Amino acid sequence: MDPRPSRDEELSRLFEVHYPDTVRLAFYLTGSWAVGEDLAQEAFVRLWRRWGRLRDPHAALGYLRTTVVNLSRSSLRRRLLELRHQPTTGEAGHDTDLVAGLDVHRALAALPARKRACVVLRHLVDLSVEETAAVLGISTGSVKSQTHKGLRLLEAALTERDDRARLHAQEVKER
Amino acid sequence: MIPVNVEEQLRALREQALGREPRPDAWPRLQRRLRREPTRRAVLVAGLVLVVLAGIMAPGLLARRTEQPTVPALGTPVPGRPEVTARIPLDRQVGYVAIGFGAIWATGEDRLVRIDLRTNRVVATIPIRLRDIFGGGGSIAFGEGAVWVTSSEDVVYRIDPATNRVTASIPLPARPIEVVVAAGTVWVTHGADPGEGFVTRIDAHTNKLLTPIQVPTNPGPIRSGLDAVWVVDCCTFGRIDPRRGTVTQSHPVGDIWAVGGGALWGTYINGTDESGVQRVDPDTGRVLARIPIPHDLAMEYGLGTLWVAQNTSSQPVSNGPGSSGNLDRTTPGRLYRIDPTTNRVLGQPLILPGIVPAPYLGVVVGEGTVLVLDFGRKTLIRIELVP
Repeated sequence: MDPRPSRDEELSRLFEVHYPDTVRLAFYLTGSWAVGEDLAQEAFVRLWRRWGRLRDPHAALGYLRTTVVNLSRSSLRRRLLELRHQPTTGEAGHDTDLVAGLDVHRALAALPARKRACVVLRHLVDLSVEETAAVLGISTGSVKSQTHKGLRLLEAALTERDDRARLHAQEVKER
Repeated sequence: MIPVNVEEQLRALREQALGREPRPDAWPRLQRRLRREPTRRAVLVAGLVLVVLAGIMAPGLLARRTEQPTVPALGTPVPGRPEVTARIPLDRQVGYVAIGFGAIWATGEDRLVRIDLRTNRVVATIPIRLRDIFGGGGSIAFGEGAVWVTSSEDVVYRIDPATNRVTASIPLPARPIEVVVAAGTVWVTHGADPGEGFVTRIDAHTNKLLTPIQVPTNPGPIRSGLDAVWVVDCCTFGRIDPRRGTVTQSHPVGDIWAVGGGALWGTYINGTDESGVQRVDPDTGRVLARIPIPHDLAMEYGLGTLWVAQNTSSQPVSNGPGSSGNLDRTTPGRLYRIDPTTNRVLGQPLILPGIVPAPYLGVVVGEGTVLVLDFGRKTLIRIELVP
């Protein structure tokens, strides 16, 4: 008898333990919880299809993350269009899918794909440099530099937005 | 130009995401998709073969399309060996503990503590008036984007997990015992007049009280699962349809503590000889299986199995040869997994470190984690399945 757990058993375990985190990763990358849930589902389906070709069952979590990162790129293109047409944070009001972190999401979405993935995996998912490098298939040196540059770009984007908002508020006051 | 603290904003975003949970139907949704997979594959293969062989293989392909896919079921045990991965010390006694929104939530004297599941560290202490954590305060439930906590001040608190703030304090008609959330409604049992025999309902969207439900028991424990709310006392359990708000069944079996794997799970004592876990059919109330495990037990269903924590410091039922009848202060507690497909203990029970002697125990399961609570020593023992 093969003592190794079957694909279905492993998938069931992975789902129980990692599904919420997979949704969150997709949410960070796309800015939409609903899209995040769809991407996480798709990632699990792809993992199920690919199970027989995984070199090592322990690589399944890494495969899930990589799939989400890749899927988010195409999904983000659509999402970017939506974001451009969304009101700013102050006006977002009751839209439950667009949360208070809308500005951060906009700024994240505007980052180049690799920098965005590095920032998300390192600072929101809390992966180590090595784990991030494995998910993205790049060197640890690249992870460090891309994360650093990504953070600086984010800072610049958010500062600029803050300044614009302050200027606008001042203009309204003077009027 | 004032620079923005990016890391702070990212942290806030993360906190916000941790406050949200995937849709509760995520697993059935995935199962539905996986069920369609063989059909999808068959269609792809069929197209390819049709082009190459011009329909010669059509009968075979049709047969393939009708194959039943193997789809994982939640009723099967999640594989792995339970291992203690952390011991989380708390600075005071806790009443209830639950896992949700990426965190461990524990009620203590006049506070709710939030512990990050990633770091096992306390990340928030929320002051709430619980007064007596063993007298109707501190039961925790999750649902409709909120954490719900009962207080012996005769209220239920609603807490926003995104901000860790109390957003509503809902007065109750009597002293509460336990709380669950099901079908957009918060359900509370009561331990004193005029609450006996009643379950209070709160609309989770408006925080307003709905008409209470009269139940055929004087319930303390309340559980949700198998598409129902279950109220239990010593000798009876009642089933409530959470959508209609009506009691649909009542059976003379008491001491039910967990729901899952298609069954209700409780404890039994057979005269003076034997005690253990019993599996009860939720539809008929019939006892389907008994698994002898001596001493007091705490149990919860999760990760495809029933988890049973054994309190060895309690007096065993057995008075047979070799039993002194005194409290056992030497045998460590154990954690058992019971496989719902066989009704047998799965693998070797895990010896619980530091649970000698434990005044009493509790066990909770959620988000891939099992916690055993040693209330006396104020420690949470975290257990996870390792390959």
